[in-house]
Amino acid sequence: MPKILLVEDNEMNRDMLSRRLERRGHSVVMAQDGEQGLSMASTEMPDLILMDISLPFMDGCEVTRRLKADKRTRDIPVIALTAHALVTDRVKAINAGCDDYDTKPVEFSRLIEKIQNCLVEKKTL
Amino acid sequence: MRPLRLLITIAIVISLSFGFEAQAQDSSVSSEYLIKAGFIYNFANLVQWPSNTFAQPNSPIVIGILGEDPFGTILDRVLEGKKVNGRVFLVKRLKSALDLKECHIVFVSSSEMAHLAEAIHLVKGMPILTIGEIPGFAKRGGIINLVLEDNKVHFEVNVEAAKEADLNISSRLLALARIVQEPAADGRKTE
Amino acid sequence: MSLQDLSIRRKLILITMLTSSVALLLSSASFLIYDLISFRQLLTQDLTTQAEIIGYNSAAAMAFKDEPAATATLSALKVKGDIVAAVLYSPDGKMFARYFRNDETLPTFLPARSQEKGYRFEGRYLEVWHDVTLNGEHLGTLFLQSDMRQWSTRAKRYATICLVFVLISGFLAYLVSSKLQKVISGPIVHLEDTMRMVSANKNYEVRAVKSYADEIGSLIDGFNTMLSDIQHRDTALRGANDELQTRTRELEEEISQRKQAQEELLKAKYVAEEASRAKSTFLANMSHELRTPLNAIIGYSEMLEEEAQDSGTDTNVQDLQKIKSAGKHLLALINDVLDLSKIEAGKMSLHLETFDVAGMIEEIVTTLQPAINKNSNALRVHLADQVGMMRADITKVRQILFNLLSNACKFTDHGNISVDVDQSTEEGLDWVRFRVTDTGIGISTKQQKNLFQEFAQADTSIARKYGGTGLGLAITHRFVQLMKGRIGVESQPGEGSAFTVHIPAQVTLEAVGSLPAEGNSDASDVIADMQADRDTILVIDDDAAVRELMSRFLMKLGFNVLTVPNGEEGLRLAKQVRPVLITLDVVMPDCDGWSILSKLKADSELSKVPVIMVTIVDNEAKGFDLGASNYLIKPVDRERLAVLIEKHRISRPRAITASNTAPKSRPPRAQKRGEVEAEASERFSHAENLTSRR
Repeated sequence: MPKILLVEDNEMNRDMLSRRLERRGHSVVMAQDGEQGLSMASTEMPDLILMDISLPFMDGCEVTRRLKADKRTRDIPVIALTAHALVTDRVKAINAGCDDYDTKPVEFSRLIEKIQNCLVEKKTL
Repeated sequence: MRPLRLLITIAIVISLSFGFEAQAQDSSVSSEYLIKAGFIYNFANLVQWPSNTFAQPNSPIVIGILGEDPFGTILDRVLEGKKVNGRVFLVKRLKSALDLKECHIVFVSSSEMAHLAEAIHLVKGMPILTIGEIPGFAKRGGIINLVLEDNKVHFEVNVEAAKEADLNISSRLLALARIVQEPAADGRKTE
Repeated sequence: MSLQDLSIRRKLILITMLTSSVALLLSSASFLIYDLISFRQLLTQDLTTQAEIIGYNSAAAMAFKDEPAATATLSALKVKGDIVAAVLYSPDGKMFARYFRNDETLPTFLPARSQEKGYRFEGRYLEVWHDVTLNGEHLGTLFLQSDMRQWSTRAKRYATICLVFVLISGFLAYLVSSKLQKVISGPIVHLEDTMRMVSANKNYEVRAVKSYADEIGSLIDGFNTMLSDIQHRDTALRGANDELQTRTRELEEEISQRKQAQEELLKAKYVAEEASRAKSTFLANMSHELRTPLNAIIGYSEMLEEEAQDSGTDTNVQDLQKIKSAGKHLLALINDVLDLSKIEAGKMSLHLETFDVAGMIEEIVTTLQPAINKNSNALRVHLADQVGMMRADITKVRQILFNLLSNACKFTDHGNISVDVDQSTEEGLDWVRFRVTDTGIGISTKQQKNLFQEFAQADTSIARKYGGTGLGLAITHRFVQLMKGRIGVESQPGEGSAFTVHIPAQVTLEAVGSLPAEGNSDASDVIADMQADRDTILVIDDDAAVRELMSRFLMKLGFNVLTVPNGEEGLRLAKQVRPVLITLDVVMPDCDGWSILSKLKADSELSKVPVIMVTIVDNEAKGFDLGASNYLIKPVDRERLAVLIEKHRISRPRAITASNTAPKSRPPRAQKRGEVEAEASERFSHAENLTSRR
């Protein structure tokens, strides 16, 4: 059962996404901000991280950058969630090291697809 | 030998120096006549004879020396080669008064002082220039008289006598002469 | 004042005087010289005669060596004032007699002995040597010396007379020339005065009076002619100038009016832009603010729906579906409003790619199938054989057709809907024609007029009955315009409608000139997304999925990535940005990858850029022959690709990316563009979702 770390500051979104992911058979752990996300990533060692980009204090890009700089967490795929759905945000996220992105409001079925892809996609393009 | 030689040398020297003395004495006399010879030549230059006097244009001017010849050879030497108007000079030592008529110039030597009047009378009226060196020669009817004064030769001219002889004496000659007149006149001298 | 600058009057006087004076001086001088020479000859003759006389007179004295007589003869010279000395030499060269004027002069300068007969001039003295002879006999030599007192006195007197004469004649010449020069200088001075008057007063009516018919006369004639010419031109010029001034004044007025108008316009434009910006910002913010709660609404309703389905509470499922549907509709509306505001602000840009029309239609039909089924309509799709690929902004074409079909579905009940696609050539351009017909309620002629205008649904009652923002057709219309296409409608109320859309088969960016703010080329926008400190890799591949994947992967490797769907554009971009590496597909719809590879290698600027072939065609040998650096067969092994790229990166130390790339100054536009792109696709997916859920 894949474990997913959801880093999201909006409580409603966190609650909704986590419940829906759990319904699809994922185990979900949650962090409210970047720091918490960082620490949980290393303690929980999830299979994938869903990262909101617009986080208070430390934004998602920074968190991702740190995750990717850390040997232990480097291989965990990160999917960025960008509220504005801007290309610049997307570029920023990819540059920070995110493996994929999705825009909010989340199209859930699409997100699930991306999650599946990320979990499978390891070797080939 | 030696004394003899010295003697001879001295003798020669003395004789030589005497010789010079004699010669100098002689030259003083001969220089007077040298001048006088020159004067005669000059007179011939400055006196004109009547045109009919000479037979031919190149007939010589005959100079006769009356009496003792004081010139020796001087006059001949002075006049040798000289010409006046194309005429040469011919110097004659006159033996007789008759020869006077053939002469153009007659030099009356001082030796003829005694026969002066006769001589003058003989040539009177003839175109003959009479030259003398006897004091009072001109006054007594001679034409030119040579006078030695202060060791210089001067001459006196009797213009009347010249006129009588039909001789034309150049004014240039007259300018140098002392003009004298025969006693009839006052005898005043002119320059 | 130099001689040349003197007035003509003075010059003439001077010339006359100089000429006459020179002539006079010359003639007087020659006369004087002639006179003095002849006088000197006379003097010489005189002195010679004197010598002859004296010689004659002293000849006798010399002959008789009578020095006093000779001296006396010489003394006669006393009366001759000019005779300085007289000496008689005897033939032997000795001094014989002598005479000195006034007796005071010492005979130092006298020659010691007799000289040759004759005369000569010694300094200012005339000396005569004369032989003294008597009847041809040489008696001596006479020397006479005269100071030519008469001569110098005469010379002085003559010079004085000449000078006086020259002065007097000069004065007379001055008087005469002063009078006569006026003949020449008068007219010239007159001409000068006239000229001065003309130039001082600019009065070209003055004329010089001609006095004589000489050269100056013709000069005056010429001057007068010139004056009248100038006068004519002056008059003409003044007229032209007046006219010009009048026109200038008019123009200035016009310009100032225009300037004022322009300023007002600028002001108005500024205000309008401000308002527009405010509106756009407001809309953007609103859409964001609205979407966050909507996100929750849709998410929760979806979740609850799933839960209700699982627990079998069907009533709840239907209600939850309604909530979710309403939420999605609201989201679509918000997106529509946002789209339109973008279009209005001129911020919508085109992203051209080549795609298969049939595939796109199929996709749309699949997506819309639920909507078609909803009102029990039958759909017929017909594609003409010649329709194949087209080049356009696929997202927008899709949306156009989606909007038209959605409307057809919406307004038709138990009817027929058909989609016809064919290709035609008009005005030298290939057009793809999409025709969507339905047998629905139709549109009245009156309604047709406002059909493509914003917020102008055919009837307000329609909104209530059928829903919708009324923006769909307006957006469709704008999208068609954006691609230089056209849209038309034929309809009979109660019988149905037919919408026809013409889009160029090859949409070009140049064709997008109608949207000024997005007049820039597509490539520059792509470049704007790049970062200056990164190398750029160009990906040329017709497959959008490959482009997306490659782009993502290469960005992760730390590159700026540019992707283009076809070779020609790839070539153009490569020249523009000079990538450090190019990946190239072989099989592309509009061109052959091999030829692109050849062209890249033939270009002097690009030949050194390594090209990695990424293709399904297994012809490695040909690739290397044409100059490819590496050859990868799809599906690509990511690690292999990374290793290859790393190899090239090492062999070519950090290249400078396109120097005109300045991300910091560009982000606003990039942001807008990206936003629109994302929004469009997002909205599409939402719509897809909306319909598929039904």
